[in-house]
Amino acid sequence: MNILVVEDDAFFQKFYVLKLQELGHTVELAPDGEVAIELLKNKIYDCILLDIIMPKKNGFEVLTFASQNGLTQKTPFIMFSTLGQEEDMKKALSLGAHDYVNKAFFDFDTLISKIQSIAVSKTTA
Amino acid sequence: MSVNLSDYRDLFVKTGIALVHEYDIALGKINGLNALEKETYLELRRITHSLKGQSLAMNYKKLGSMWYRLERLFAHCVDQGEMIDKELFQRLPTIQQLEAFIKAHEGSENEVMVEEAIQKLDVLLGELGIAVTEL
Repeated sequence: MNILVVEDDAFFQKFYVLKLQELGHTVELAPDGEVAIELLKNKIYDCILLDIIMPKKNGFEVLTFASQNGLTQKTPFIMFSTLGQEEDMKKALSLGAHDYVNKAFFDFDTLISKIQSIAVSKTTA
Repeated sequence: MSVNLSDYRDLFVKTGIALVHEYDIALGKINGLNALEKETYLELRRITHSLKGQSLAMNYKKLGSMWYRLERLFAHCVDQGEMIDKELFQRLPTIQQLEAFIKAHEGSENEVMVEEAIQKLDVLLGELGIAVTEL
C-alpha cells in the first residue's frame, strides 16, 4: 500500500517509516501539516497516518482540509495518539478520521492489523 | 511484530537531547516577557508533547509523566491566556536536569528516577488548578 506518514517527531518518523517499509509498504513522509496538505492535493494514498500536534498546520487542520475536499471518504485517516489525548481523538473522529492508534511501540501490532484490514477491504471492494 | 526497545535507545537519547535544546531556546524567548507570546507557548507544548510520546514509547513511564505535566502547563497557558512569570520559571526543572534525565538512559536498561521533579510539578500544577490524570 501507499502510505503517507504525517509526523513531526524525528524519533517516530524513523521508526514508522522503517517498520512500514520492512512490511513491504511504500511510505512517504510529511514532517508537518502544511507539507501534508500539499501532498494530498496531488496524490491519492491508500492510507494516511496522521499526528495531531505538529508545527505550521496541525492534524485537525489537515483533517478539515481533507474532509472539505472529500478525501476522508476515499482514504482512511488513522490518527496517532499518545496517552492523555482522549478528547483530541473524539474531535478527530468527528472531523472524519477513520480510526486512531496509540503511537507508542506497545501498540504497533494494533496499527499493523488496522492497516492490514484496510488493505483487505481495498482488495475486496 | 515484536519491537526491541533497546534498538531505539540511542535514537531516543539523540532526538530527546535535540528537543531539550529546542525547549531551552523556546523557554528563553518567553522568559521576562510581559505579554503572552502564544506561538512560543504552542511550541513549548509541542516539544513537551513529543518528549512525552518518545518516553512512553520507550516504556519510561515516569519520565513520560514528567513531560506530560509540563505539556499540561503549557497547554493551560495557551488555553487560559496565562503567562509563566519569573517566580514560576524558577520552579521548573532546569535544562541541566532535563538533559541529565535523557542522558541517563544512554546504555542503561533502567529508567531514570524523576519522582522529585514530578512532585514539584504536581504542587505547581495544583496551585494553578491544572488537573492531571495518571498515565
